[in-house]
Amino acid sequence: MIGPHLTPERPLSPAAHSLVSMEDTRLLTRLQRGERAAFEDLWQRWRGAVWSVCVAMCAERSDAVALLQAVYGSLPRSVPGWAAPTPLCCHLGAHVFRVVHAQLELSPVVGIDVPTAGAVRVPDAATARDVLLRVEPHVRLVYLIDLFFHCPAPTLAQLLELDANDLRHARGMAAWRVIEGGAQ
Amino acid sequence: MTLDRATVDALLPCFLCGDLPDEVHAAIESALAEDAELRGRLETLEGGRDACLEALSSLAGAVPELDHELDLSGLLSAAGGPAASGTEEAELEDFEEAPTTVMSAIDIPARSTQLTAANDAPAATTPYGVEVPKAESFTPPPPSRPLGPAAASVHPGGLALGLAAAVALLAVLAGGPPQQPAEVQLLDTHQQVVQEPAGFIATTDGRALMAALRAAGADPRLAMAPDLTDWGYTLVGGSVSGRGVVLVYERDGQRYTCQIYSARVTSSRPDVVQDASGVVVRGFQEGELGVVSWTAGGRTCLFSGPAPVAELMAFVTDRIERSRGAREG
Repeated sequence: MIGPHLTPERPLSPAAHSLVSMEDTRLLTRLQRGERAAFEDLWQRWRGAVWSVCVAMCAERSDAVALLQAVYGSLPRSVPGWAAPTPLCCHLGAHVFRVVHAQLELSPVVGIDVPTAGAVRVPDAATARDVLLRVEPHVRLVYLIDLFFHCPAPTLAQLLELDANDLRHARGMAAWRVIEGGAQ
Repeated sequence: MTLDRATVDALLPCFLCGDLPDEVHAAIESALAEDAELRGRLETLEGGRDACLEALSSLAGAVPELDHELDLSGLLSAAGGPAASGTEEAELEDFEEAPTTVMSAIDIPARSTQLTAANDAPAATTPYGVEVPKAESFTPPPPSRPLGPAAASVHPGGLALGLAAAVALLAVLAGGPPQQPAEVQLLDTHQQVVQEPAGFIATTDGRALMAALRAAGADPRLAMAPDLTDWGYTLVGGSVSGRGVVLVYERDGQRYTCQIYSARVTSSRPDVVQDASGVVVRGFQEGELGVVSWTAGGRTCLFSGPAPVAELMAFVTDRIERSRGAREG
């Protein structure tokens, strides 16, 4: 069941990720003009995703709230660097990644093992949650950003100045762990 | 393009995300059309993702209301036009005038010291262990970027994925060299530049140095020459390093470098971490060299020299805080 915080199913075609909607373009223009209503619109659309990431990254709820505030509060300073050809979801995903990574002082996303998996099975929600929360935080963050913001690895890598393969490896590692957990 | 089964399997999470190169995506589609087991694993990955979404949604619950209004003053004042970057008065921390298209000039709010990541196991630290002998005999070890061995075991599913699959995976994705400069390379740079190698621009004039660095090919956003005389550091000169810059200062007859890059520094350390007005400052001691690094507004700076790291940390944090206090005042 898709809940209110969840973003719609994304297409599998790589070409689809290269398109930026007119709605995104207009919203970005308004954001960069400093329109308060534009920030409210952006936040209304994405706050659920941001909150889900914060909760999944923090041991304490109060820390998750602090993270949420940090992401929100630093938006105005981040927005000037958002270039139009890149979708807003990618800019926001990169922004969340930077703030969370810095605030929690996570390890660099480098040298992630290429994931392997044996027996796999779709886990129930509780098992998926438990397994995911045991994944290393810097790897988990990459997976969460992908889960909620759907930014292609090469785009996110460019925004974060990371290696796209490291992001892919982290994402794959977490994905395999989740379904290996379902088989145990 | 044809991919072996092990590589297709390893790439299934990426196929699900839809961000593989077109020819790789097509090759996997072909493989999936012929292999029911692989299709099953893809569906399981999809189911796992949906399970995570469902689980995290119910875990999060309602989004809390935030009680702070956004400060849009910076955006509104900048709406009149882009500000120049790399000006003569540019401070190391003064990043917000130059909008970037790669890394945003963000000001990370003051970090709560209570924040801890859930299950934040300490990262496996593998100090580079670089011995920093006298400059004339320094031979840096080759920078390493370990892949990490993939688990080379045969699973009940009959697949054996090992280092060969890892290499194949990377070859397929045509991964390039890591973009972040490694710690050991930066220490090597320090040792080289303090000796004023070929291409070094010797001048005590900060404005002239900035212009010369830009002319020599440095990224204009990085071509800065901060005035550190209040702390006893006198500018000696600088040189270009890739698209970044290396500045050399002198204090009490000793030379210090300030390296400025657009990419983050990979580091398995630090020994010391401090918060300076929301900027995380890291430091470690490498032999006689104290090394301090910080990232803000799309720039990573590394200050190093023959001094205790605590001393350099105190200088850097004082400068950051003083600069931010002057800006907010």
